[in-house]
Amino acid sequence: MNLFTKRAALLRLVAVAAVGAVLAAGCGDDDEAAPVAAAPETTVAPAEPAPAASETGRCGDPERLADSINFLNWADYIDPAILDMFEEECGVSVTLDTHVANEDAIAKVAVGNSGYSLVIVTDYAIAIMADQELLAPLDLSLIPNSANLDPNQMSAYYDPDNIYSLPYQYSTTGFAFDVTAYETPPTSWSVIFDENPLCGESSLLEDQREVIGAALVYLGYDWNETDPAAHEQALELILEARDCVSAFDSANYYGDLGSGEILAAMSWGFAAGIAYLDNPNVRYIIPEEGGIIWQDAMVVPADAPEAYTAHVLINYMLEPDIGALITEFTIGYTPNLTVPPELSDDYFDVIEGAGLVLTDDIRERLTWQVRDERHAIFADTWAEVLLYGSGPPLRGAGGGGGGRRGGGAGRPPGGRPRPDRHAEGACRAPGGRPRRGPPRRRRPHAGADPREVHTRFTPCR
Amino acid sequence: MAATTFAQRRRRRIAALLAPGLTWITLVYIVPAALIVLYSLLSPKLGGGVVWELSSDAWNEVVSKGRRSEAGWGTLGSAAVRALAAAAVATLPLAACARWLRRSERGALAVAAAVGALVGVNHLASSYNNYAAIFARSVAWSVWATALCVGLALPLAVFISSRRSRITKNALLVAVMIPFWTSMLVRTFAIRFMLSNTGPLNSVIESLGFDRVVFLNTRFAVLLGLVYTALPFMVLPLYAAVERCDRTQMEAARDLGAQPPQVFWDVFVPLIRPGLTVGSIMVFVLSVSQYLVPTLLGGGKTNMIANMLDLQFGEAFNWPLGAAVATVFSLITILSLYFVVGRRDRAGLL
Repeated sequence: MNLFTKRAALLRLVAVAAVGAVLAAGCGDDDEAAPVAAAPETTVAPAEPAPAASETGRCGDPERLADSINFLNWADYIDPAILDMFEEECGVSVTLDTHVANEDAIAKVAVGNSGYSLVIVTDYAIAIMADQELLAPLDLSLIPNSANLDPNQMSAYYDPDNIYSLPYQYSTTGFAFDVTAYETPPTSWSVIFDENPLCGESSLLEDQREVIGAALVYLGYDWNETDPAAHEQALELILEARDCVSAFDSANYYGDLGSGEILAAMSWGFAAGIAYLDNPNVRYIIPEEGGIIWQDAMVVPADAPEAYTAHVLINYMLEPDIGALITEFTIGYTPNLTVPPELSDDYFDVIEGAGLVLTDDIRERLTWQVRDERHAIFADTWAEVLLYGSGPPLRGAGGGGGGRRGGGAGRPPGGRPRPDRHAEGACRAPGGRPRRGPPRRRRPHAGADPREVHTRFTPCR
Repeated sequence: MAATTFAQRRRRRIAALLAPGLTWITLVYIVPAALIVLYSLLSPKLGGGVVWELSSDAWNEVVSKGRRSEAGWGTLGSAAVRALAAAAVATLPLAACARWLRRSERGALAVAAAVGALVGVNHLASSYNNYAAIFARSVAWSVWATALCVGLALPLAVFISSRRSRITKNALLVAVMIPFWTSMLVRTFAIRFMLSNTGPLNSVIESLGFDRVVFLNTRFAVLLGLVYTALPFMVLPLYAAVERCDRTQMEAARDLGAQPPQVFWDVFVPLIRPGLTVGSIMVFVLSVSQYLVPTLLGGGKTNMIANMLDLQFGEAFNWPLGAAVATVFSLITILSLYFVVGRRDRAGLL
């Protein structure tokens, strides 16, 4: 049955493509189109007794589809137009609910009877949820598009056999900065942990794993190190760096980077891309000591009321065109190998312009962030960072000030040139400057009417 | 016989009237409070929640967490020096005031000692990174915020109350209330924008030829946020108290030869004390539990108790520790209320 469905779906795809080819070729070459169209028609006819049921082949079995489904995703992590398209195409209305932290999502699902049939969370959260038996195993036969997923992004540590999850988008954690702020572009975490020339204008993420992890790799340990002595050293390092960075901030920093409010930040890859839209001087690096690779994935809760529809929606989001819409919206990386050809030039302009291209060389520097009981020490260390009360005194930001360390060395006289925010050629997000809002992780969506905004880009040229 | 029946009936009626309220309080306050205390004695579970195993880890952590990295006798000494210095600086003008008011200097010395203690505690709390420090810091900042609010709100309340026309009064009161109409989140973001490196304040400073100043993510910004958010809660009770107070008493005091400062201190302040108490409690309780202001204006670097609660119940997945912190937090609020209201009330001042 499963194999049958899969084959039928494939054949239907071929048929659709063939019909498309016929239509396209209608005013041109008849010789080539005819045999292509003929072949599948003969095969499809017996294999599909009710062809009218799903014309596009992307909606599964309409008999089993629910009328509506509740979907829990990161805030501003999917183009709302996609959900409208799904409703139009498959007749399922999707109620999107958003979370701003994996912990929120876990809590919502853990209480039971949450009503969500599809949830998107980050890697380590999946391991936790699977461990607590909150997730239902996926039926990959209902998700034929899962065959298109990048093997590099499958079988990750959090779900080695992809029993519960399929990747949605992935990105990295590294360092984003305004190129005009440094004489030579930084390549190491030392610009935060050793000599930070941008006191009061650089920030660290507000995240125990990422900040402590970066300090650990800077000291030569592993991102996931749990040795108390190593944490002691990392804590020392962070407490020193903390007086100079302007904030521990995961919610506002990319807007600030885009507006020139801050000039450097420990950053998520996609966030650097968003900042780049506002400020084309933003560059992103994975420092030589290392960075994090993380992945958001789609899971179906164990008590999902509409598990079948959730599978269909997962499959739908793995379609090449839909995947392209998602990736252009998030400015992350797509784990779907069929998507890159569909992506617009604007997307690649941002990825290349901001230095977000993920080469094999860079991949080697990336680590997954593992989280289980052993890693409770990160919370302890982080609590000490946050408990510490020596807030910074008021401080001048333009010239040398009281608490600056290693500030003026090698700087051009008269202070650093201010970044030119609106250099020509800047692709601006629709709706202009990003709104600052409470989400801890994702950038608030700037567009006014979701139906209008299919991508974040407006043509630059 | 008839009397007991009446008493019984009365008792029953009272019980029936109180039952819904008491049930509500039990369900919504007492049971959760008891649960929080219970949770603080269990073990944490990854992903949130608790494992039903008794453990004293959370309380050990609250009591003994943190390294006294820069602390020690040196810090203690410097805190003591600062406290003494602050007290000494405060003593002179306060004593002069007391003399001027023809009151004994003992009150002035007590106030000076309180100022000194606050400065000392503040310094200590900045140098330690344990839970005692963050509790002390939150309380100290809230006391500062309360004092600043009194200082700002009292003249305003008197000013509004002294307007002749009702329309002006109402207009001014509405102006005080308007911030309530917008979400606190929006207002805090507005302050964030005002104080930011590239914000209006720094534009003015830069246009005057000075270097920019980092206002945002400092203790100054947090204190400003606390005062800004809580100010209306001080203005309104004070205004009500000032409106109510009988001006003829002050005129009488004046006629009987009291100097203006004396009238203020001996007649006016006792008359408005209920408003002062209510306002102070509201501002203090609001400030000590602030989460948004330290998050958005302190940049995660100058945290208060609520931020630690967020960390433990959220990212850290350590509910027992969060529950223990919450228990201490509630105790601090309840005890400070008891000391301010409970004792004052017995003296019949509220």
